[in-house]
Amino acid sequence: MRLDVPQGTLDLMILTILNRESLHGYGISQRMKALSRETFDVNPGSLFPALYRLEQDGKLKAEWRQSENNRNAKYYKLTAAGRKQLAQHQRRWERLSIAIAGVLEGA
Amino acid sequence: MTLPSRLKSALRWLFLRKKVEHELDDDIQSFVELSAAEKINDGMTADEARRLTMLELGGTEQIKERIRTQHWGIFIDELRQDLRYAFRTLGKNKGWTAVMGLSLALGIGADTVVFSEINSLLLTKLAAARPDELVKLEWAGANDMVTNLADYGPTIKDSSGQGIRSAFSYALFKQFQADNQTLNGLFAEVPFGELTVVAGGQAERASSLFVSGNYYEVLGVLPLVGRTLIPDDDVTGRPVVAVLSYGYWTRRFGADPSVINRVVTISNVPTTIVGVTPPGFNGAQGASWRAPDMTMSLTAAAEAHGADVDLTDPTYWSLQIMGRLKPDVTREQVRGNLAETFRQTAQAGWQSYLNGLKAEDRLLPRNLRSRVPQLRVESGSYGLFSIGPDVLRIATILGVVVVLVLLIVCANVANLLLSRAAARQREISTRLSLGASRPRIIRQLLTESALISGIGGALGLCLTFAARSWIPGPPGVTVTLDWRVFVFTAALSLATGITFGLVPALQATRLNLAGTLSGAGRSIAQGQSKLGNSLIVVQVAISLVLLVSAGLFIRTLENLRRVDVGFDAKNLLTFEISPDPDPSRPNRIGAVGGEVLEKLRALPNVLSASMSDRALLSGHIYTSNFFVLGRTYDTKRKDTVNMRVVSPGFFETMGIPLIRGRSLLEQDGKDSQKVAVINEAAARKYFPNENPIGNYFGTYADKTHDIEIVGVARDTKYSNVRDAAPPTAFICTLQNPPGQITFELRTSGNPDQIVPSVRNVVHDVDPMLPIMTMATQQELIEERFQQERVFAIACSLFGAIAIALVSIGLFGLLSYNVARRTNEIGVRMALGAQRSEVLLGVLRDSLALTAVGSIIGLAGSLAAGRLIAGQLYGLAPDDPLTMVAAIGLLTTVAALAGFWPARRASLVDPIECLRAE
Repeated sequence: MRLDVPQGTLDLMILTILNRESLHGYGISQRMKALSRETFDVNPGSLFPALYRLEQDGKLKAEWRQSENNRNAKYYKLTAAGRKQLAQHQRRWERLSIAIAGVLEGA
Repeated sequence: MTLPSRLKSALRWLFLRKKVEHELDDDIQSFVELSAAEKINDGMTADEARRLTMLELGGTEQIKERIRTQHWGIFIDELRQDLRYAFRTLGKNKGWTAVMGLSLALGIGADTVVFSEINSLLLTKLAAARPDELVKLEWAGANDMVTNLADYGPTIKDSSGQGIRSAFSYALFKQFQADNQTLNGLFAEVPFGELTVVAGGQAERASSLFVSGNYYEVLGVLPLVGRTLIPDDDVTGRPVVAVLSYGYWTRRFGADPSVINRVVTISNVPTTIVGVTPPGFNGAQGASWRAPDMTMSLTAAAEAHGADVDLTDPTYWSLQIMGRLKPDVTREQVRGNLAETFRQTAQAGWQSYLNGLKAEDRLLPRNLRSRVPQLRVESGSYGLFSIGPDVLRIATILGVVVVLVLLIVCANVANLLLSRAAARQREISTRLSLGASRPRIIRQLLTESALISGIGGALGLCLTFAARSWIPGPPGVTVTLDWRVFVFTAALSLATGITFGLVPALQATRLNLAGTLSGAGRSIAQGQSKLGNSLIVVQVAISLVLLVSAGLFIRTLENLRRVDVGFDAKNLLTFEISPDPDPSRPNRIGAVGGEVLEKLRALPNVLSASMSDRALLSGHIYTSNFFVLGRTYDTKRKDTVNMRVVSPGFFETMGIPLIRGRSLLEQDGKDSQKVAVINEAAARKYFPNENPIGNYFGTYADKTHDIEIVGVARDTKYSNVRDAAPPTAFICTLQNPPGQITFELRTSGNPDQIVPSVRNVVHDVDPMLPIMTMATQQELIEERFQQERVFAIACSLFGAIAIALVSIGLFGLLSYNVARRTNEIGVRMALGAQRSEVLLGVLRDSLALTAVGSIIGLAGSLAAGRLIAGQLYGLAPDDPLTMVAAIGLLTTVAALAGFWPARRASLVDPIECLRAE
């Protein structure tokens, strides 16, 4: 079953994926699809604005490189500010999920 | 996103839009290709894969649009938020907002107008091509080479104290042109005063300027309509043509282009209008001087308009000369080029004058002279007229006044923002502790300051336009509003606003949140209050300087108005006519004048009437040499009298009593012995121990038998009220026909009532004769105080602004102090302090600040007094009465401003305070 990306988690997922290695836009969307076991199929119409916002904000850096099949592609990579942001997002997400889990279990 | 990065992003989008969008295109393209490649790997055909990918993508344009709004959207959203919040905050503090806006508006408006005036006067170059290349010729030192010198403008002295003049003879001009090697042309001009222009059956006076034919060519001024004058117009025998100024063309001819080639009559001479100069050009005299209405050629002036411009007499010096430097030539080189020409031509001119005299006259002492002045070549970029010390003084004093007002405005803005900052500290601390970021709050406060400053600036702009007409300035100068000045003052006020608007944010974010929230942030508040106190002290001091100056000028004006001018100025109407000379009717002026006078005397409500060349105290000076029969004069001795040509009945009409002898009478006609009445000053100076009556004098050393003194009249002021009556001789109109006539009418009631019948009388005598300067004698006298009035109005106006600002500032500061000390006051009252003690305590604060400010202000006033001492009359610049009155006024205002906050303090409820604590 496919789901929409929950509000406010797209940045977290992008930052997490890019923390491991730098990727181009298509790579990010494919990795997200694979990791979520095909649950999240992020639309480029949401992905690109998010990438550009993070880049403008100094969380991501980009460079043009040859892709695996010899095409020119824009590779995104985390900056120091991006890593800080990721840590913050992660902590918040952990607290959120613990809280939600607690509520659900309690019910 | 933080403010700087958001701004950066917005700006990046603004400036690098093409590049960013291009990059985005590539990025999406690579996405499509990668995605399609994978689908082909999975077994799709290339077309199918591409189609599906595009479908998934949902359109590249939509993506780009989303990114675009992302760049601007948040920024604009937040700006809108901030503005809405700022408007709400300002709306909640309506009084504060109004005061703040008004302070800024007053400062910006008044300053723009006055600085514009100064700028037009002192800093604007001629509207000619490359004005920096223009030079004017002058000379300094004693000049024995002239018999007639007609110069214009104020007397300027060079560094060694020698008077500088700028009039040359036509012979000199021609010789300069012949010998010139350093200038790209040089022209001569002479202002000629007003002439009667008859066009379309209407007669009107218009000012004129006579120029050499290359005037416009050298200046590089092109016509707006038609053509300008050309050298060919300046040749004997050519038809007389005139070029109109833009102002005169629009005023008189409704900017009608068909006026070109129309023939009008200028002082009885048919003249063809050939062109109009552009609006910005006001003549070579100065960029801001009123442009002469008409310009005609010098030859035409000499031929058609008579003797006042004598081009043939080499000892008649009346032309002003300007030239244009050749590239890479210095003024010193021009001087080197022309100095010898000047000396030789001046001497040759004098010699030719001597040659025309009888042999024995050549040896008269007054003709044995030889001094030639030094030629000077000065920059002409600001025009031929030098700015005289008078105008310079007006500009300086107004400039100082305005800078002071600007200081007060800045201090007031700072103070208002500071006092509000204190009130906002709690709000800001709350917002910070609720998670607002510091930059976000700073940005919000900046928006607020910018908004209020913007409102003030806009109001200031309106005020600038309104004030243009009623802020006084130097007479005879057209002022163009200068936008650089507006931008400068506005920027200064805004910078003040923004700087001090930031203080609360910076302070609030630096301090301990918990402390402020619990009401203990007093040490900072006290620091602010100290700054506020010193700002008030500065304002009080400056206001006092302005108030004292205003007081000094107002009292000077009063003193001047009370001066006994020596005649009865009440119920006295004067007006001037100037009939054009008519070769076919010699002494037409005298005939017309006599006829008008006859009819005026018959008017009801006219008790008596007389005529003279000019009215007393009209500002016109006519000085002659004074040689008494039977006395010897060497070359050094130079006795002079001021002359006035008056008709029989003048002394009776003016109410000037005769001390001795008789008045001028109808029988003192053309064919009888020339007679004069002198005043007491002349009698004292030239006849100290004898009876002047029966003595003879002349205006030339060889004609001392010319005029018999028949009477001595009481002293009257002559050209201005300040100076004592100068030695004056009154000679008779019947024996010395004047070039223009002023009538004096003594009326039984308000002189204004007979103005219509006076107009009828003149119209009956000659319908083409315009009446000039109809005014009561009191109005004429009042005109002499123009400069003093400018100062009195300016200082009072700005003094009032200053004192209003100070009271606002004091009120704000004290209110804030009271609000801050509410708890303390409550505690003191709980411990037994009386309400009256609290009230007096606050008032004492207000008065203490005023006292400190006044002491500093007094010192400032004494310093300022030195600047204006020369402008005062009948009192010293440290006049104690004025000082006391100014301090009294300030103290009263301070007490009033302090009363409201003091009352509020005294109404503090101690119980409630203790509970709150």
